[in-house]
Amino acid sequence: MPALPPADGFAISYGPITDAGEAVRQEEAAMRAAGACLSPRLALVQPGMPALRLNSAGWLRAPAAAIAGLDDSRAMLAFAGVALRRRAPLFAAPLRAFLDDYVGFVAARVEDARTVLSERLAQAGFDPEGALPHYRDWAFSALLPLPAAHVGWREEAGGPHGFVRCDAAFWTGCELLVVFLEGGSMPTPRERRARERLALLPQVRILHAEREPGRGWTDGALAAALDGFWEGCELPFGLIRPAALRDGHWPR
Amino acid sequence: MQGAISKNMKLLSQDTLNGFGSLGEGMSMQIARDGRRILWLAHEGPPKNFTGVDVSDPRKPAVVCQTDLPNRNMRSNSLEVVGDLMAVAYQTSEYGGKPAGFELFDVSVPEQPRSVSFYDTSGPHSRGVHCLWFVDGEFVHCASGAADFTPTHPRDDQFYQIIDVRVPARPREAGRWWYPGTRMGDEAPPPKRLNPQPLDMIRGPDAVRLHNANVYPQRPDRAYLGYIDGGAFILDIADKANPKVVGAWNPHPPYPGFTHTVLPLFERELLVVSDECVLDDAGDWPKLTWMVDARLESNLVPISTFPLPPVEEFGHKGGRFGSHNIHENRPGPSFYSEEIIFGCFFNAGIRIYDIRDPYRPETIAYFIPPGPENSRVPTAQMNDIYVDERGVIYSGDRWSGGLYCLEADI
Repeated sequence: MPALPPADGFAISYGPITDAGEAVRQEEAAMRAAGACLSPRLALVQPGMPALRLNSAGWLRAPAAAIAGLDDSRAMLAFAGVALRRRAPLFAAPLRAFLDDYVGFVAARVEDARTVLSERLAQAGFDPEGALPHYRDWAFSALLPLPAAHVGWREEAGGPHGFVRCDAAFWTGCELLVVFLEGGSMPTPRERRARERLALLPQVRILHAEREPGRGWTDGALAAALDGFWEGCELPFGLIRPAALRDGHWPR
Repeated sequence: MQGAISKNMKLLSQDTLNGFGSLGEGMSMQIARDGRRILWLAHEGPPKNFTGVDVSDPRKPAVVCQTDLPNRNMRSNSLEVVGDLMAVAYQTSEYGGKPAGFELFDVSVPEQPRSVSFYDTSGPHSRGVHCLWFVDGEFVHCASGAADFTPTHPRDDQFYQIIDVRVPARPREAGRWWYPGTRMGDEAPPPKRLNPQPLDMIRGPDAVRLHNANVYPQRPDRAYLGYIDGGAFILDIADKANPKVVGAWNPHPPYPGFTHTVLPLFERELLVVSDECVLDDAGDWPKLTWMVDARLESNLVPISTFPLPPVEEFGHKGGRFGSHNIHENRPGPSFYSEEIIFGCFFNAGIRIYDIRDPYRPETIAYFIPPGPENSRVPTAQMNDIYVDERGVIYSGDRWSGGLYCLEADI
């Protein structure tokens, strides 16, 4: 029997942390008070919230000068890739490889869909090869991976969070994609039971990624789930959302 | 179990193996053709060679086969099974004894092991094979003496040998490596002794010889060696005829010696390195299990050790107290984890560690049985451990307790 969706959604601590509960305790209250859903260590998601994307505010706290020095979209995407890698724990080579593959996948999909994406910009009155926005800026609409994620939810209102650890989590706006990279450690009995409980929750989809020799992690069902990331986005923008866009208008 | 001390672990069963409950360092699982799960166990010493136990239901283990050694001046101590082929080590009590080497058995009918071949490593300065590793069905990696090897120190008699058994009826040597200076005629000088002991003492500390050599399908070109007082080595064995050292680390001295097992955690680029405690009553304390950063094979960096209970309490309960064998993520019907490490620590029992934070290994479970009857010492001496893919934990007592089957709520 499927479980009920958690009333206050999911609290996903991520990155090189050792105590998921502590990460939530330190940040959840302040984030909820500020109406924030994303920080460099914690994501708070629930149905009705928009997808978390590479250009979502909160996960990347880079000095403005660092971003300003990036020449173009490709450099900015590479910068994002490095930032994601830094979220992987120190001794997690497969996860870093997964994140590298994902960034490559995103770039490749944008190139594959260049005609369509350029046309969308043109219809909106922009030059797709212009400086801003460029068709490659659609890459930043890609879903944001939360590496080394601890997916937490309250099974009872007001109760403590239970956590399931996974290699990466993505919030699509409709569902939480929970990714396990195959070939690593077998789950313990408690982990197995927790994963089974997580799999029963609505809005959760478990995906197992396998790495084929000579191919990346992002193939098959995982690729299908992560593709088409520009759908639902009116216009692209880079890693740092321009202030003018915050009220919904794009400067011309 | 009355008298046991435990946390998050439960005993499913104990079997004293028809009164021959002295178990060595060989635990290997076969899925027989009829689907039964047979755990093969090597004995610590004579008169028994190996025992096969049906652990399909770990709550009701049943001995299906138990064999005798050819004579009482030897021990098996170590074995491995791949498919229906089992390799059993033979080590003699004296140099020059026989049979010394390893024997291959067809165990397709577990009740009736059939000898396939014997690989002879006897010699005037050899005691044969102490420990072997056989997981790919092709090569036996072993710590052995040899007829043509004269050590510079008598206790440095066993070195790394790679034996090709792809034709099981005709094993042949494919390669070898020894610690420089341990063979007569080496250019390198003999290694300095860590804790010099009388020369006529055959067993015990003060040895620069191989204990465990582990090779895994993830990196068939790498061998991970525990070379007792010589420390830990990583060898490139892409060319098996010419193994080359690519990494080495030795905490001894100032630590008291006896590097035993080097377990690579490939995904995480870490090593778990265990020492072996070889003296009773904390005589060689501390014997530790180490976490080593192996992101650079050429520069292995220790980053933590596994916590142990207090030596003030366990060091004087009787018997040995300290590190020894760990579950080695053996290919086959085996639990695989690079985050949970299972080890046995003699009178500190079976202990399970969470190493997700490798800088801070955490004890998450343990089971310390009471001292078994008819043991040489008052405490249980948990000697070896194996965890199958169901998560059932098997451990053996060194003297009389036999086989313990357990589960952990972790």
